[in-house]
Amino acid sequence: MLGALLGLLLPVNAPWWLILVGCFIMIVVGKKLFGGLGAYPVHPTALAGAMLIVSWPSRFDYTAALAGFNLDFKMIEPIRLVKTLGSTAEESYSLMDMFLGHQIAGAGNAMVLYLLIGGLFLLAARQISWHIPVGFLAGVALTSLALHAYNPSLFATAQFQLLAGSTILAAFFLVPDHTTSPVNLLPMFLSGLIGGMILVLIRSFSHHYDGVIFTVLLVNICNPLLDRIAPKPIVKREVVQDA
Amino acid sequence: MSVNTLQSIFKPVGCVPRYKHWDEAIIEIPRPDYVAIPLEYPGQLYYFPKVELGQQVRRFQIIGTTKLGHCVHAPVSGIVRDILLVWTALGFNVPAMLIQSNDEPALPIEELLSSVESSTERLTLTRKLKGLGIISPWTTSGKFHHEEDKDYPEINTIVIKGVNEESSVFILELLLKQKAEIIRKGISRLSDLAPKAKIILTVPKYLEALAKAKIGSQVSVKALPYEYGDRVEQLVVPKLANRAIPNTEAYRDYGVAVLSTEFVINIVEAIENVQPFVDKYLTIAGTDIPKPRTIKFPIGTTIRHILKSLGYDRKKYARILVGGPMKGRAQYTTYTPLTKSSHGLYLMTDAEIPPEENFTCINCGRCTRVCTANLQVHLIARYAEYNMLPDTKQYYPEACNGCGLCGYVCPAHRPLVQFVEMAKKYGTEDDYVPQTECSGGASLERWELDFQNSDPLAAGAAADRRG
Repeated sequence: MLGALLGLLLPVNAPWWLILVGCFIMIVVGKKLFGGLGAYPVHPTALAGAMLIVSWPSRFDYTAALAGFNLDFKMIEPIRLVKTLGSTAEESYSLMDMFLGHQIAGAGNAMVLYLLIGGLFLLAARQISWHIPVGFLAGVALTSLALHAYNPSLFATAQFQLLAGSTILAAFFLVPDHTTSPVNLLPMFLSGLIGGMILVLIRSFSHHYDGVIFTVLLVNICNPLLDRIAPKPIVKREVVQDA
Repeated sequence: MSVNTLQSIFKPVGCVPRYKHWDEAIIEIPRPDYVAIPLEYPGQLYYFPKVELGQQVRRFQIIGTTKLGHCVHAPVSGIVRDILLVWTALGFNVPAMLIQSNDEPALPIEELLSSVESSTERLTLTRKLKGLGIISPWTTSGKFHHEEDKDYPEINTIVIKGVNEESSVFILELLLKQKAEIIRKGISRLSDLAPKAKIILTVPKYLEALAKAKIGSQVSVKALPYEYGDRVEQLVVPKLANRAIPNTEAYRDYGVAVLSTEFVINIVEAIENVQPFVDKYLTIAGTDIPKPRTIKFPIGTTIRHILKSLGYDRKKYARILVGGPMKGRAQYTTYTPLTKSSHGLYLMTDAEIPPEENFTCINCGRCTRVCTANLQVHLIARYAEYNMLPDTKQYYPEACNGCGLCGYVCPAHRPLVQFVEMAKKYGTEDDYVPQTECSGGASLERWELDFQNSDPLAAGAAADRRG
């Protein structure tokens, strides 16, 4: 599962050693050193992705991966174009194309339709609960709506943010990971909401283009704190006598 | 991929299967060759034996009393053979009195009553209940029954359970259906005992109309839904009584009395001089038993005798639980005697038993979300697993209802109830040491091998030597 997620995130021309290093970091550092399944504090795939993106930014570059291709579509990641040119660049993409996965991205992280099918299967099989995906998508939509209303020429619209890049992958596969997500219902929703907000903020203001990897890392370390919002069991409280 | 596999993939979490058919008749099992009556219910009752080894006792005769006058009776006529340490269904190793049964007639109820009366000045109703072996909310005396009486608030709510919480136990519904008249009589007795109390009867949905027609004039009938999570007693009772009752407290401290239809029948039988509390009802269910059967047996009968008399092959079942699939306790021997708190037997085959391996928690949180007591089960279980019991106190494990849903939904098949129970015991018992193995308990088996087929006189002599 982790390996498949890393595979989806990697650029299509990733060299073999990049994959090897990524898997090593993911399994040995991200997972086993922390105690294996159920014990790691942040999503190992996100950790490995972050290490790779920081160490070899040029190798982990979806647009640069297309250097050798010459095809008749927009040869640049939608998010990168919007970041460079402002939200007017959205017009060069049709939403339908983006929904079907016709956009520049990693090996599979922007196959919106297929990821959505997979995510809905996870929901139907009750492997994940709806709170995190819905919270995440709501966070993305609300934050980008607010930013777009603030400055329509600079910030992308909500539908663009939802369909571009790895938003769906994060909403259904990365953030709801059992080990690194909260277990109570309200914290789950909040965790998704915060994740969505962080994602749009990173995309809008930071140096990175698709902030999903860092979003997952950031929201994962919030979770133990969020999980303190738990329903209270009925117990006999000891009455503290005033002095 | 079969339809069942598909169904199991998409089934909702926490959906406990229910039986659709069960045997309505209550079968009376043949008299056992011997019974073992526990003389101690740790933390509750300590009976002092009132008969001697080798003595002939008759059915209904008092064989032990507590300091406060609660009595325990011989459920069969026979000869007192021994007092042994026996492993009981509740998971305790306690002394039990062994009675080898014979054909002596039962003690007439008048003689029993006179023996109860002689120890006190006059025979009050509570004294009678005590003397006939009924531990009712009116005759208890504190959380530990060996303590002195303390002042209780007046009973303002009586909840009568007409439905068992376990999905495989049907005794309360069957009794409600078949003995509605006696229960109605019993309920009018209850209103004598607690005149101001509001009486609530819980019933399964399909019996609501019947209960309202037959008993509805005296009680408010409350139909419970089929979901197991909604039937857990610790949730239902505070809801009906309309107040929050912590699990560490007794219902009685809040003016609430919780009875069952079986209990009401026992009270009627005691008050109307029919018989003391020596017989118990129990439902036998299991995966390969399509129709669970309900039986009536003398208290102290072993599981082995019940299975044998009903024709079940005990070797076919990998685990035998006393109780139901959710709250039941697995027994490691069929020589376990069944007591007043054994409501069901659940026979599990190999296929149903999760692998023994203790998988690590994947933090999915199903246990915590399904918890009927709002506990953070995943945290408590991991603290308990890594021997960090003092750290579990901050999560209030004592609020656990013991309903078993957490372990049921766990995808890693972790023994979550047992972990929470460890944490609970650590928090509430001062000198608790986590036990990894049980001891003793084989004594009844040995006794049976040694004595059962030998000459009764020689057996009695051997018992004398040991005593």
